[in-house]
Amino acid sequence: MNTLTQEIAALIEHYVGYSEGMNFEGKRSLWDQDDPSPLLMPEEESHPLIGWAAINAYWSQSRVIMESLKSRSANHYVRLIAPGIALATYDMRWVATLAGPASVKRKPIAADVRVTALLRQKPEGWRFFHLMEGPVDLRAMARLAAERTARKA
Amino acid sequence: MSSDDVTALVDVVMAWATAWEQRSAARIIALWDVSDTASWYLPAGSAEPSLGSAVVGLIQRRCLNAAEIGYRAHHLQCRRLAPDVGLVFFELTRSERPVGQHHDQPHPIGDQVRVTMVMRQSEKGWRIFHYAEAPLAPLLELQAYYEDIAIEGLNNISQRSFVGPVTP
Repeated sequence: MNTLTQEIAALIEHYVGYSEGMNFEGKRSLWDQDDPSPLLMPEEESHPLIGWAAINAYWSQSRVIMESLKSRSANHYVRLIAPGIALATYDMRWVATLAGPASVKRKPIAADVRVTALLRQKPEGWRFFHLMEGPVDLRAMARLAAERTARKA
Repeated sequence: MSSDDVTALVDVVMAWATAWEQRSAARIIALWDVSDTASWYLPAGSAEPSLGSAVVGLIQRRCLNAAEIGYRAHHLQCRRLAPDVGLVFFELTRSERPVGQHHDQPHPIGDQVRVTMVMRQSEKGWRIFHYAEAPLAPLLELQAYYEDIAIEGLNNISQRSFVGPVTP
């Protein structure tokens, strides 16, 4: 693993670690605050969130929808694609419990997504300005579910 | 970003979309940076990305295995990341009818995905070296399907071919 990959993989681990406790202030601190139109594409959103107002509103809403959230990343792949611009891909697993009445028992749900991220080198370090989460599609996930069932049989 | 910059990036996306609809592997690959051994291609239905030279083979197989492809890119967001590097994010409505699809499944299948595409300018023009598709979370896509059926209400149960139309 080269130095650039190590540096950005550490930043990504730090970033996804902020999921625990839903520390979205921490997440925001690892984005390029000077970028006027950052783009975040969460897997559960119908359209991309472009600009700080949309991203901040999304993070605020996440605290209402989820009772708990944890994430971890793996398989980091990093390239310098222009001076001061890096392209990173990684896998991320999230585990969440949705919010709801205390009287209703809820099991955690989890999934893996493939992330494409673009980062800009700033005086304070590398910072995100584009991040897209991509699960496998419905057909591929149905196949994964069926394979899991067959293994249990 | 100037309109010329945007036009060049949009032109690549439109040429890419047309080439997919024509199922022309040669035209698709002509827009790919085949010299980049670390290029990355991740369709929504693949568990693993294809890298470098493996991308060409996957594109060829996808074109050969489809009798029909729909590929409509919309809501493009273009950015120039460096003088010779461009980023386009777009939403994609795609459909496909596989070759030899069974007679009881005559309709194309499709979905909506989001795409991050990164390209670089070479002497030959703009060439794509990173392409990743991101569908809506399957859990929500399935929920949306159930909601669509609910909108149809109770009066639209599929007619089976082995019974004639009967009004209760």
